[in-house]
Amino acid sequence: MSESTFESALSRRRLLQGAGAVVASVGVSPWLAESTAFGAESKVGGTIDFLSWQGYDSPKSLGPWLKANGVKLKPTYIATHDDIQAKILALHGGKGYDIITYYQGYKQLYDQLKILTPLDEKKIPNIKGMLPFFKSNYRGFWVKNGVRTAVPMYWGALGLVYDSKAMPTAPNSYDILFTKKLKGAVTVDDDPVGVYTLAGHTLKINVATMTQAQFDKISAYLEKLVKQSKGVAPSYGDCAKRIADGDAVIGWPGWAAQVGFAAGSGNKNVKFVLPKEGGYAYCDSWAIPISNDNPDATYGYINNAISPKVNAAAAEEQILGGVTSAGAVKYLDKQTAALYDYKNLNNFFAKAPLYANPPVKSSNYITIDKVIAKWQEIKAS
Amino acid sequence: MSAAENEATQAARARGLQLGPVLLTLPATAAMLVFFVAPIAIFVVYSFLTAQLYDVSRPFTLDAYSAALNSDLNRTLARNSIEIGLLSAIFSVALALPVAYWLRYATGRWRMVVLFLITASMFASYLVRIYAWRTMLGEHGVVNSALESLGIIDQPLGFLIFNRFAVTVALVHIFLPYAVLVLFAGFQPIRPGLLEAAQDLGAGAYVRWRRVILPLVAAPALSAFLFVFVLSASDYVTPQFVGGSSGVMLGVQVQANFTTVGNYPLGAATSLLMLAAFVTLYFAIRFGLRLAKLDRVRFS
Repeated sequence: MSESTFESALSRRRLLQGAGAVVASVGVSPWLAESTAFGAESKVGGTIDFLSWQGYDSPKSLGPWLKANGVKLKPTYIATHDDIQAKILALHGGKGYDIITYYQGYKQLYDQLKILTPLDEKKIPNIKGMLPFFKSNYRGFWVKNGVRTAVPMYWGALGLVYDSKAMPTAPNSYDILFTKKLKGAVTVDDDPVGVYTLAGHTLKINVATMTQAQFDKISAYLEKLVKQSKGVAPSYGDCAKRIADGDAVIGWPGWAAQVGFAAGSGNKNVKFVLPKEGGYAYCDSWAIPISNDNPDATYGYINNAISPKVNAAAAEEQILGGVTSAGAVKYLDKQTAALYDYKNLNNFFAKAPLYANPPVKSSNYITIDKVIAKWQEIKAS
Repeated sequence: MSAAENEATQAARARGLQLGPVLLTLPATAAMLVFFVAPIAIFVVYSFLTAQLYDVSRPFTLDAYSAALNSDLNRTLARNSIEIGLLSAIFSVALALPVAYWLRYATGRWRMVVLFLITASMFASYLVRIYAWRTMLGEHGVVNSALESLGIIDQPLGFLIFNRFAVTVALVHIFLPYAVLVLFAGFQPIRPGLLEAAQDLGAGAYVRWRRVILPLVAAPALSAFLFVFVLSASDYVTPQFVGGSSGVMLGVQVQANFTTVGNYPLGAATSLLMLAAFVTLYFAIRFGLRLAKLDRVRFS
């Protein structure tokens, strides 16, 4: 190939690349417009090694930014939240995973394990547009001592799910779980921290600061509840399937996403409700672990995820999810927008608070290993 | 060729003959060392170390073994594991024996087709097979619906699902093809002529089974039994999906120790104790075979 031919080929390639970029940007421009500022300044590219729940990569809503920036997402999906720390610690300080999400209850543990890096808020300008509640340093879950380690993304509440065909009146109290009529029709999720947190909330006990007497009280509540059930479902998905198949009528703790899971199994009558006692909330946040080796692309990815339109699209993609960007609320469809009163989020979180997990080590309070061991015992009883 | 040269040539040939098998088994040996022996060795070391949060440190201690052995919960879960493993192994071998016999002596040229049909379920995903049993045994499942439509029952039978019965049924279904394969291989060297000779000598069907076939397939049958027992007793997925409260097994606790609690020594000690129990059972069965003089039965 002569030099001139080479130059000509190169220029044609460049022209095609340019045209492709224009076409791509026309298609995804509404979502990209809010997140290009960071991309223009930084060296975005390469691969982001993603370590979180399946679905949290929200391919429909977060995928266009990856494509437009030439970034490849390599997901590793976890089976339990504990896979996150286990996999990062297994690297022994090496590089590998670039982005994780963590449930607020794990903040204390992750601080102890030193697996989180402080985030540079200048590289995530969309933080400024977040809802005040999520911008705050609520209980130190995302910002502690002035250091931000996480950006809230996916959140919701846990209460009850039930089959509205078998139970036409929505249950308004957790007391209904213990009625004779529902004996054998209750299904319980195998989520040790989750069940202790929700039972604790119902009994007005904070699991993060639980004394022995309080622990015994919650354990007795759970023993009674498991006896009402036909056994514990190994996952939230399986719990939804048990209700969808008619093997159970009501599920505890119930998660709004289970409505979608049950619909996927052919039962569109399954509904979510937060009874009068309230429930507990979860908030999974983006974080950059110590194993990150592509910070620019990771910051760009997070910044894009909390831009208003992308954030709204991701909430809808999650099925009945909440948004964290203030500007995202107006883009939500009616059903998703009606889920939470965004003008009074503080009231919502008072009814369904975000709790920390039981401590890993403590001489005053019940530790997480005791909680897990007791839950295994209750399950096997 | 001198005698010395001849000896040297023979020695070289012998060396060559010995080297061949060694080279052939090298990949398998390396794989076993890397994927089985090395992890077990790491587990052994971890089980004697002091637990830190998601980490281990010195000094060496027996604390993890003490905690694993003195835990009431571990004892309950171990009992669940052993009971479920035994039930699954007994039913699998009991069902596989006649199937393998029929496959060996009665299927003729259709043998491979039948063998394929028996093993076909192994191609389906493990979870799909478990969920298939949920669909069969559930409150509104195939069995209850059929019984209701036939007018045999008014209300669905609740005892079909979320108990040990369901776990045993699902595990037997999952492991039955393996048991059939092991027993089919065990029947292969038993020529039909042996059975014909027994018949000619006046042995009826029962005597032929008891005096000829059973002694010859005792060892393969116990291999199949052990195979199904170990896989069933260490399974912790099936019991969670169809087992209810009675189906929780020790494997779940091992996993929790490694991931949720971050106590590596306790997880390692518990799993090594499980391994020790399985090895003990293996030697107990071998000893039983020897006592019954079934370990030296030969086909020729």
